[in-house]
Amino acid sequence: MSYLFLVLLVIIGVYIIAPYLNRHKSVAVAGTKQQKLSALQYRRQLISISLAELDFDYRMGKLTEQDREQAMQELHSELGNIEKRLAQLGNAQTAAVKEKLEKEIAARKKQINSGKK
Amino acid sequence: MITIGSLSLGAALVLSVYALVTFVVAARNQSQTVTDSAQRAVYSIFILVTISCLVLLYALFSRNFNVEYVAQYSNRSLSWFYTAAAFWAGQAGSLLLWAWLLAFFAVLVIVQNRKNQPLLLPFVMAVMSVVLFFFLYLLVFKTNPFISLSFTPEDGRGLNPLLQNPEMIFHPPSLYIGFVGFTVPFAFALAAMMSKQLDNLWVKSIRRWSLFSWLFLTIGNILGMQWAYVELGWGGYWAWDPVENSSLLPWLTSTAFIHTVIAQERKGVLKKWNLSLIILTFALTIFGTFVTRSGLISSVHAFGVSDLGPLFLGFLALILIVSFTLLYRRAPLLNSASTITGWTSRESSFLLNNLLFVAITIGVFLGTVMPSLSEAFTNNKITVGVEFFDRLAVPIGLAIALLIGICTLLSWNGTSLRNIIKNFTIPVCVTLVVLIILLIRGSHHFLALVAISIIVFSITSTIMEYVRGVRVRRRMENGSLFAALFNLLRNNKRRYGAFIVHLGVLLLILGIAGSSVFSYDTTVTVERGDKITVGDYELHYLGIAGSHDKHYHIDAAQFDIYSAGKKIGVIQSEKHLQPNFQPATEVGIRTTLKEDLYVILADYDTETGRATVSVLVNTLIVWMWIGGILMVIGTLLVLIPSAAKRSA
Repeated sequence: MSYLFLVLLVIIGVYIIAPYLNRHKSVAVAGTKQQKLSALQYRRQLISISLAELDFDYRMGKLTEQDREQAMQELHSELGNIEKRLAQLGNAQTAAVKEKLEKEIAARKKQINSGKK
Repeated sequence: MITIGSLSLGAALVLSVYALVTFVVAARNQSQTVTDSAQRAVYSIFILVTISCLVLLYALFSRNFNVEYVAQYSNRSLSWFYTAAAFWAGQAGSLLLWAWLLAFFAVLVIVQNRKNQPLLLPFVMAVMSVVLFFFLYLLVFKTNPFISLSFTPEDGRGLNPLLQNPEMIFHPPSLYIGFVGFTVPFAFALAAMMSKQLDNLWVKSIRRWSLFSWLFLTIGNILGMQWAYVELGWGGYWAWDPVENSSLLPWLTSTAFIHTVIAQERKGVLKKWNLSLIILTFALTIFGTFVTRSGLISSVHAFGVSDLGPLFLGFLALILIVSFTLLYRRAPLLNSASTITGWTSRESSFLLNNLLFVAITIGVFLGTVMPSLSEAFTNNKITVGVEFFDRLAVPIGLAIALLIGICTLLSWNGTSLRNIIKNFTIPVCVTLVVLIILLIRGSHHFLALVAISIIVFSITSTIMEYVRGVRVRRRMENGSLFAALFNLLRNNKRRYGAFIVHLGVLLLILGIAGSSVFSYDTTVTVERGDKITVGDYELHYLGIAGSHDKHYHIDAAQFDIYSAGKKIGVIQSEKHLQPNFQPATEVGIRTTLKEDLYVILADYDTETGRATVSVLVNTLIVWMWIGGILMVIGTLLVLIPSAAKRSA
């Protein structure tokens, strides 16, 4: 049994150091963008919920039409800003992916060309 | 085999240090390689701690009394059911369960967030690794469950009869899941402050974790109340015992948190407040563990004196100092995007509810630590009695109950006076009608009338919210009543699930108020054939019957129950006699929606059959348990992901 446990410990050791043997690039840039994107998408989701609730509260007689309109305007305005920022981030992300792909294609071309030589 | 359990814990401890260091490095240089390795270390910790748990279970079920823990908490006659429960009957086992849950939750957090929160996750996991390290350190060096005895006893000491109750299987693990679960929101809160990523994303990540932990803390507390109610010696369903208080305290602050965090999500307000609440909630879970294990505060539930107290106190101090220093330094980044507008808005009612929850938390905390504090500073132990807690909890509890009713009728941003009057009319009228009926029927107990009025008002306003919601749905969909109710719940689970929880809380308060004000009792010594009259009941004493269970001897005082001249049932209260332990009393209970008939066998003589018994009529008590069930159902409804999210 003790031998089995020792084997398990060795497997765990190899499993933990394995990532160092197969290096990845930093996640910093993509990670920051991904988080910004997630935060904006979450805010957009919350605003959608708030808009639906506002409408429901109005139908239930909790709000006057004036209060409802004012709150809806504020939320729509914020939603507009979020959509704009999401579009900007989407474009930036598309550009970053494009740039990455072009670099990879160029590197592959170079590799192929050098192979031919 | 036992050595493997111990070695697994040692290896897990080493890996927790590795995980901590590598997550800190990964957080600083944002390296995917280091992050991957650190995450694998956490997965490995989970595997190793699981192996330890399996080894302890194996030792318990194979009756390996050479292991001190097994000899201490089990014996050969213990059923498999309680043998499994013996796992967490002692300090070392319960801490092992704690470490396993923490490792499991750490794995879940990684799986849930590695793609969505790649930058925040290393910070979160660094915090969780610190907590893991602390508990693994205790298990390896201070309270190891795998310590062997120098000899192997023939049999173990057995499980305390007080703990041989089905609740033993569910109550402690529920509380542990709740306690440990709050490590996740705490880790996210600290991670957000450390990484300065203070947008709402961390709130999104912890919303379900907070509710999940709150649900289990609620289940644990309700089951604990039920257990204390049926098991004599634990002072009734709630005795303001320090250990009971220590599981209530994080429930109070987390209840406050799950309300105001909604205001933060929707309105961008109360950011610092919410961070403070989640820090306090986690600190209070550690405080609860300190109370149970230090032996500094005397309690019928505590594990007794141990040397873990100073370590828990040190860890608690570290948590509070680091967290609040960080909060202070990040305060400029935590200014609210908007302000709370008007006193008639839902967000302001949340704030008011929070102030009440924090007030009761401070009061209960001070009452709990007062004996230790006074002894430390004045050498004179000042004990705070039940009266102190009742005086504190009754008015605040009723104010919270009233707020539940008011808040339900308010809208975000504010509600106009005309709409307030319109929405409050029916609840106020129903309350007045009930109040008049009670007065006509001769109820003049002021506090009871106030309590029932508030509860009726709040229940009516919550039900009215459903009625109005269903009406709107029917207008929108032209469907049946049932379809409208179903769609109302399906389309806004968060809101209408929460209202079910509110109804549960109100019924719980109704049960507490009813049993506190209207209950009555009598204590008499009876001979065979004697009758005891209590309220509408007449109990005919049949004598003491002896019998043997597999584990202990039972003496039972038996009674026929009569009401209005008719026999309506039988009831018995028992004494369980087991070697090595004090006799345990099992009360007899007959439950109806109106009241519980509750019989306690205090003293008896088997030869003469003479017995001294207390008979209690506990009014409305069953509504507490019904309320508890509603709280669970409502929270589950809130936790179920929406169809849109599932398909996404």
